[in-house]
Amino acid sequence: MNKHSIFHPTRRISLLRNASLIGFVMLMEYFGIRHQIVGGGPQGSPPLDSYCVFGGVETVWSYVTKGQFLQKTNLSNLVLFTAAVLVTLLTGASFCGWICPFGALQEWISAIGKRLFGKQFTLPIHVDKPLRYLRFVILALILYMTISTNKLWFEFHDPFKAFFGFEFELSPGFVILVLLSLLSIFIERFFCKYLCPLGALFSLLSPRSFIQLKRQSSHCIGCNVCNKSCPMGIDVAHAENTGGDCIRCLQCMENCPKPEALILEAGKAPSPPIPHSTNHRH
Amino acid sequence: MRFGKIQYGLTVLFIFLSVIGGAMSLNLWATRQNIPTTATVTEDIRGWMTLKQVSEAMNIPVSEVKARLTLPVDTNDAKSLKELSSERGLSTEEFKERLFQK
Repeated sequence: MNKHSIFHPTRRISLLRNASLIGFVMLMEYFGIRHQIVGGGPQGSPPLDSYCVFGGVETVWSYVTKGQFLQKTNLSNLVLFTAAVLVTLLTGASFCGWICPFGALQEWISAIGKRLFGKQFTLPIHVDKPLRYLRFVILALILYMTISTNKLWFEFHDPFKAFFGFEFELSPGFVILVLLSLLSIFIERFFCKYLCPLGALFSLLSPRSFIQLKRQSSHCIGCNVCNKSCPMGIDVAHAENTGGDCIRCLQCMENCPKPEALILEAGKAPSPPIPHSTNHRH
Repeated sequence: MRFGKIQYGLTVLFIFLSVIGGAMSLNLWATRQNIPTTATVTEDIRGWMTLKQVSEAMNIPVSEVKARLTLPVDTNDAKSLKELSSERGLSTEEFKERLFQK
């Protein structure tokens, strides 16, 4: 069997992770289609917003201060957000790598780009590094606008909703979706790296997670294979632990020729994260 | 304590699904929207609301709702605003605004 095939025994983790992502993508598609067919309200099917983890972030202020949810959100959003936070605190930002349906889409689009060009493109480090802070600006903007307007301000700009809600008419969300899809062909997980507000939040919690992905320098041979395989452009080969941007896709571990060089370890205090660098990838 | 890759992946899924399953078993999982009890502005009216639900929320007769929306008197009360607006080639927002036009 081809070593690069996802069904090769050495790629069992990729198979499991992709199976998980396919499952969550299909579930979201099902919710989106069902809502379109049946309609909303008590007599219909819940809107896609009710199944959105980020909806929990948006509605929490209204729920705490006024005791009511923002329109289209519900208790399910708080449950999903709690589940995602718990996952992050225990295992790192694995929600992004194992569950997020929008992250999965970008990853699969990137695979097309890799086939077309034989590689993924990276931004120069002096552009990449400051651009990663854009996620926090977007998070702050969404929270500010949501609280001041008391509604889901972001829903009209949300590419997740445009795709899974089958809203393919010309809207800001649809335009953003098309742009992101194009960018993902060239730059892997562009949205996750530079724009995702939920990822920004998880990147703050992830470095303190119970299970850490660590590099044991005594076993590392410095081949940089881990850097080449990292979809988030993290300089795994020079880090003690992978830090807040790591989505725990475990592609670095899967590709590493030394089984002991990268390990998942629980219970010890994390070492300081090393800054990411796209320049180390090639 | 070390985790294997497969063990780690299954742990992630187990934690996430357990919280959702736990919330469902404790009746903390709610996704359906409630019918607004009062509607005084356009934002209070939802596209999924039927003519009957709109009349109850706005505290006006169904015939008055139909008149404001310029619908025939024999229009089915159980039809939603979204259905009615799309039948007429209008956006739901545009249709909802008619309810509050003086």
